[in-house]
Amino acid sequence: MEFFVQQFFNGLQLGSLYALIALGYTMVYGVLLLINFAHGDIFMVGAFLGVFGSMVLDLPFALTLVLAMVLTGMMGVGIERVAYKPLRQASRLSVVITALGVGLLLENGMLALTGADPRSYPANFIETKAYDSFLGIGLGDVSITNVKILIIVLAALLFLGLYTIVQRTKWGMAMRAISYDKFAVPLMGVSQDQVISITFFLGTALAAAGGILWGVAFPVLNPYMGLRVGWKAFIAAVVGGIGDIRGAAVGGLLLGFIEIFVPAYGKSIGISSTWRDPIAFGLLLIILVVRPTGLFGVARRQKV
Amino acid sequence: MSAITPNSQPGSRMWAGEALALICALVMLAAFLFMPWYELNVDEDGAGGGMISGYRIAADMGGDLDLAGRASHMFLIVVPLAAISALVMAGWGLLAPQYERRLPGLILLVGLAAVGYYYGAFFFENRAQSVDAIAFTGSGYYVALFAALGLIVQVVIPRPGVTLNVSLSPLALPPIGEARAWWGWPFVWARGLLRWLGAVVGWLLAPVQRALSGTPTLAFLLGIWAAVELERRAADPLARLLEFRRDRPPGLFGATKLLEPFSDLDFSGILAPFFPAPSDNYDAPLRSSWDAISQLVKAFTNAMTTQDPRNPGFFDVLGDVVIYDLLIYIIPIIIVALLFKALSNRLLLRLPFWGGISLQLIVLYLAVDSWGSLSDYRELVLIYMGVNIMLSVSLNLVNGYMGEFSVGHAGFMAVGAYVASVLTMWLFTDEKVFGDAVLSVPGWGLTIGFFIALIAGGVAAALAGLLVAFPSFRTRGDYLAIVTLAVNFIVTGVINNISAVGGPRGLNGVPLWTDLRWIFFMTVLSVIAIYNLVSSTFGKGIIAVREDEIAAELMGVHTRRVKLVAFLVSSFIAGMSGGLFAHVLAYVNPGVFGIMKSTEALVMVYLGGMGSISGSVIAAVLFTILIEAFRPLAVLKWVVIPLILILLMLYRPQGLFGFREINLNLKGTPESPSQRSEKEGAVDDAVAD
Repeated sequence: MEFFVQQFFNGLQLGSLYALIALGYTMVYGVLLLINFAHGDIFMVGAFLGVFGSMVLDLPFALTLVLAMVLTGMMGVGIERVAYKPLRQASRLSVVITALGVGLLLENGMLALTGADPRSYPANFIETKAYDSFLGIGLGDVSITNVKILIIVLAALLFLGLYTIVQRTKWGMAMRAISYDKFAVPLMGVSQDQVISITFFLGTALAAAGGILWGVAFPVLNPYMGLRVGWKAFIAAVVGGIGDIRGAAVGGLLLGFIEIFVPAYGKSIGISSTWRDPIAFGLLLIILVVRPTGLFGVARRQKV
Repeated sequence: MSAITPNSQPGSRMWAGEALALICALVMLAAFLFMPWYELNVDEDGAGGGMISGYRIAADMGGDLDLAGRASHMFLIVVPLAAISALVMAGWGLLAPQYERRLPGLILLVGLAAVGYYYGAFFFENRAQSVDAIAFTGSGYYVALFAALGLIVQVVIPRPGVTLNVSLSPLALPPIGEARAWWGWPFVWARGLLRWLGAVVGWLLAPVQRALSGTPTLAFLLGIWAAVELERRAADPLARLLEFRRDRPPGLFGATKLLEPFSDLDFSGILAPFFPAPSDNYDAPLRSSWDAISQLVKAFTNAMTTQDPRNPGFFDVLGDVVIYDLLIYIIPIIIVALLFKALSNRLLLRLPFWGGISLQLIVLYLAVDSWGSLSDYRELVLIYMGVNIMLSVSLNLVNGYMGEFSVGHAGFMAVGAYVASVLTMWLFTDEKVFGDAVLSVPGWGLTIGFFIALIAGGVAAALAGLLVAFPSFRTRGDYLAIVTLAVNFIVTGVINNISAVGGPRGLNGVPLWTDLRWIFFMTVLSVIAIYNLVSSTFGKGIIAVREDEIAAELMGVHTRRVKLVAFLVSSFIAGMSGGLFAHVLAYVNPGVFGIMKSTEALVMVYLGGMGSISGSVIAAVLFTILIEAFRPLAVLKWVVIPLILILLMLYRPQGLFGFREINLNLKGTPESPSQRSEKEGAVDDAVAD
């Protein structure tokens, strides 16, 4: 039981991080029908901006987080303006390829401009504390740290905030409208460019938050950190049903749980932890074969 | 085609352009004859020192100079020659205005030649060891340089009655009413200037292009073969003459040599102060980053202009490389192609189609083999080229012709690589992983065995392709993309976990069996197979699935079978390319076949253009050369390549050859009566002018 609780919290932590990144993928996809392959690298830039805030400016955690989110969000808007906007009328694939190129450019540009030393946050950024009891229940051997709680709570809050924005505000309504019919929205007097910019801002800001939290949980930052994480979060978004923000959250959590529980319980039946990736991806493959549009995705009806 | 507006009165014979050309030419001559060129310090005590005019140097030059020195002083002859020819032409233009249409280009050429030789003088200067310590002092250089620039400028000065095939002169204004910010004007002018230069270059190259039109591919292949044979014989002496570093001919047409000066640039200081590692300590990030930038600028200018004979700078190498490529490749290829044009046309028209194709393949192989035999590095590059061609052509079948978006192609390559290597190691070779060879076969048996192993690798990869093909019946687009991605992760993940093949450490001791013959044979086979597949009736079905799957189904295309076959063939060829790849590295590692490799394949396909086999082939060749040429740049390599990709997508989203093939003229062109009359028509036009 203790083991299960421990692994449950580990999975929740990892899944929350995946969910935060997957949200950005799914928002951009919902509005532009574009797989933003640069998203994983934007996540990396967010984590690095956290280093800038905490090491160079000596800001506390909360301010660093806000600063990195704002700066990264602006960068996301800039990338959209420069690289994707000129291609809005072009075929979808050329935008996807451009996104791949932007991602490669970000990670390798970062490597070229900052060098290969691994980064980490300063020791006083967040001091890890393990709790003895949780909600009055003694924990025994289960290690639950403030970092885990912070990540889970913050991710949940950010998700709820985003959900509120998308469901309750006018801009959110405009986003949903664009993903429903992008030709009718400009006719209603809503600026498509502004909605897209806001979407990019929100999505990349969430990636930055994910990056900083990732850096707190797994303290080795390098320019290639976004590569695997980004692809995995993308897979999570697709499994949830890309374009649906609840789907991204569920897909992220699912991926996190699979990645934690498979090695944790597989060891007893002779599956070593290195089988984590093949099994996680195999399960995702099966989900996609059974439900080709993901868990929450709705098949777009094709008119003939 | 609007005429450039005249700026002087009609009927006037004295035009500003000609006048300027005359003045420039005279100044150049005067500068050559009277202005000081060199400060010669022959002795320590000053005897024989002092200013000497270029004319006197040219006159005094005895037989004591070595060959390199002699080459370095060639410019002394070119300067007066350029001046005199500009004089003659300007005079001719004044006296005989009916020929003026040709003049601007010629004078431009003369001016460019003069400028080129001044640059040459700059760089040859330090190499002329026989004349000690020649300092570059002469003001005559600058006077004559400006005169040459003046010659070029005078071409731009409009003259009455002149029509050039340029729609926009450098100073042309956009239509009135088009709002434009003040900072937009330089761009308009720059674009106009570029277009103008392009038109002039096109006009100068037009005769070559006209002469080469209708030349069959065979003639070009013969030209390439001849050029490569020429390189085998003349490369070393030429490299010595041009004083290449270590006196070796350039490996990849000089591309690597051009980028070598930049290999020492270190950009990492620019942003590192803002993202300090725990051990770093920067007091003032902005200042240290600024220091890094200024150092970088210094290093960059040094890399561009340094004349150190051991580490020559970019400009220094540029001239040498251009000369080398022109002398070894471009000019011989054009000459031989022109010589063999008629003959190969006649030959190809007699031969049956496949006869012609095989003849051309033989010539291509001879050329490639001879090019690769010059160094091991070249052979390796050629093998990579073949692997990349197979990879991009097979991916193009799925992504370009069938319109799916497969992003995990390297996974199939991994399957093929591992299966083929395990088979060859287990069956035919004695090594540590699997022990002694199970089968003992004679030499020719190994060839067959290798072939069978490659085929087996391809079949295994095709089976892995089923993992993608079955989901593709129900999903399309982004969801299928994720399936391919997952398959790539699964394949590398599974290989990582099989300790029998080394797991993450990789498989060591794969026999080195892939050579140029194998790669050439397999590449040609795959390209022909895919070409035949997509141009068959079945292939039309593949394209129909891309255009509209439902409509295709209604028209009777068995879409499931089409998808199955396309995925199977594509992954089969990718698997074979993986097998070949493994047998050239002698070592396979699951990390090699990750997302990066898949991305490389995608880059090649979209660079060449979807739905174009010739595009894929050319893109694979270019990409391989690019990757190898950028090797000195280390990390920057992967900054430059995505930049190219992004710019390509922004300005040419369909790729280099999207959805069309290059017209290769494989069958030869008969000289038809219509063409002949066209030619005569062209001559008539010229006379009428």
